[in-house]
Amino acid sequence: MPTVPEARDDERRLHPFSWLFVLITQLREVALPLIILVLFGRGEWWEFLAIVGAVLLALYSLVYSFGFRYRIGRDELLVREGIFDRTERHVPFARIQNIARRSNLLHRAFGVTELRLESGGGLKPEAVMRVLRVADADALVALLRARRAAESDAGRTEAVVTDNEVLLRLPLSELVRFGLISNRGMIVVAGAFAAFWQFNPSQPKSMMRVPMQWIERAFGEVQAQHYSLMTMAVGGALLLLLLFALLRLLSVFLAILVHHGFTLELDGDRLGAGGGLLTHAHGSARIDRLQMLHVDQSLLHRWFARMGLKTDVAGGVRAANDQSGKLHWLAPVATPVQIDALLARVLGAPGLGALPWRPLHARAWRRRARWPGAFWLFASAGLTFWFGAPGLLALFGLPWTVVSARGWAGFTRYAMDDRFLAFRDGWWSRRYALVELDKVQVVELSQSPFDRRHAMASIRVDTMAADPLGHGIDIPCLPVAEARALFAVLSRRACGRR
Amino acid sequence: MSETDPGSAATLAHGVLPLHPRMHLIWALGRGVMFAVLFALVLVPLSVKRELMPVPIAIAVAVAAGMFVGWRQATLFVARYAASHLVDGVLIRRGVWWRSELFVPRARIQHTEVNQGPLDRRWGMASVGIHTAGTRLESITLPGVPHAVAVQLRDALLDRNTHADGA
Repeated sequence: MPTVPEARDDERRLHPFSWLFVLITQLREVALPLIILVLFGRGEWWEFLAIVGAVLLALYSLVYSFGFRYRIGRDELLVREGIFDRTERHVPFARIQNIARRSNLLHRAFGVTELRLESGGGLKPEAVMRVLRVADADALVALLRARRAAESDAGRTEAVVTDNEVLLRLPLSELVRFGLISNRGMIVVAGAFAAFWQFNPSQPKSMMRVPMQWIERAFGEVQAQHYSLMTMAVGGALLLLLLFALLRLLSVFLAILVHHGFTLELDGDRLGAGGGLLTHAHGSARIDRLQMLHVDQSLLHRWFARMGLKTDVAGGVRAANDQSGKLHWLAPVATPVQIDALLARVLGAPGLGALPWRPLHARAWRRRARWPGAFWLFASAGLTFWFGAPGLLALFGLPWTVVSARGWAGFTRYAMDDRFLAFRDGWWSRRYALVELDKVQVVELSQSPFDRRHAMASIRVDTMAADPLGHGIDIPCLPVAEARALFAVLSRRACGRR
Repeated sequence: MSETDPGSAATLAHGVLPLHPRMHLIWALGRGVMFAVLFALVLVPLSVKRELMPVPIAIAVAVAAGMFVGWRQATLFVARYAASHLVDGVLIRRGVWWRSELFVPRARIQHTEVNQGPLDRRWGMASVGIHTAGTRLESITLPGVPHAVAVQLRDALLDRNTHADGA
């Protein structure tokens, strides 16, 4: 445990090699466009102008980083930036809500780390210290925590000094499971494929030439050998299986890369989590800054009897990214029992199974099945028109629609007790969202014309730092009276009244 | 400016906020243009292909029909629209086909703003923007509030209690 330094009124500078890291960060931002311009550009004059601009920007930020000073005052952190254009920022300790640390291989080689201090609101962090000696960073973090603990409650100071309580530690076996479940490899390969395609617009077939040649050669051999249809089918299936296995292997590799040595720790009233093989990202936030919690349970999760738990944290960058060192994952993969234990330990919430789940409207599945059902009917009509009787096969989509809609309505539930609102939905892939009632920002009750015909309504809840496009609490197909009652209770609770 | 307008004499009270009568016209115009374009997209190709009528007449018909439907739609919208200033927040009911009720607690409002366009200034009204710390419904606008009421509402909605943001 590093010693807590006394606040001194002298100014401190960043690590002498900070310029290197600032340059790398700048170059990383500039490098990709540069490479693209050089490789794929057509030599237009404005492209070179852009390169000159980018280089100038990098040089400027280099000089800028030399002007960075910070001073630990009595109750605030003073940050001075810039040489030509000087900025002096006073960051009161009480305002710093989230502390994020990040260190990659290069950081570790120099024994330094990057520290980001974030306040409750705004998109930009209050201060980014790129980079500090690890010991300095430890000392600063310890000081910030000690100061805040002393400010909020003298009694809590002891809790800060005690060792962190480890809530979850992921061994390698769990990371392998996480990799197998997450299938990030597929996303990476698809992304690479898309990017490759994107940068070769003039000759879209060129990048397909190599794989096509392989396939042609393989098929040439197949033809020459006169393999039977069975052999070819089995061979093709094996090839697909091999490809699938390779993708999963890549996913496992990525999971280990990102989350190696993942630990979730409770330090007084703060939660910290992080890991990583090459780049070590660690984020922490006060528990009362946690907003909506999300639990994912895909089909693969269920096969492995696992779930994933992540959180939205108020403040900082909205697009939460676990790579940036912001607290996001509480448990990339854990057993349902562990998830329940975490929810209980961190928020004092009842387990996911113990919440008083209530169903949607009895006819919710019909609403769910209507549009896909209509699609299959029209598809079948169209296909029959064009191709004759085989088009009727599309009608098999109808029972599937009914089964999946009933499955969805059977699982989709909401729950509210005197502290929490929860929503779960899905069928094969299941998702849970849980939020404390006091964290609700805005409540919306909405009714489409179809809702009105079935005496239904939807309830939507907005919270801080929620991903606008991600899964949240959006409860559809509620009986209208129940929705109105829920709206009234949520509105009252959002005002802080019981 | 707004000093002589009828709306400026109003004072803020709890309950449904007054809606400036001109909002009907503004909403009718907005919807009218949308419907006119929609009708024109159908009528003009039809009149060219089937030689139903000359193109200028088709456009005129589309505009007239669009404005009529827009006006009717706006009448319904105004009849259903209600923004209420409550003791602990703002409740907004709106929508004709797709209806929604939105409650913004006063304690969650981060900042408010009063906006006035040229027409707003001419007619002595304003729109009040309400911003919360959420991400999906973080910005809600109450249009057509008489300017004097808007200014009072702006001040009344700001909760001066600290640590009330739900974080």
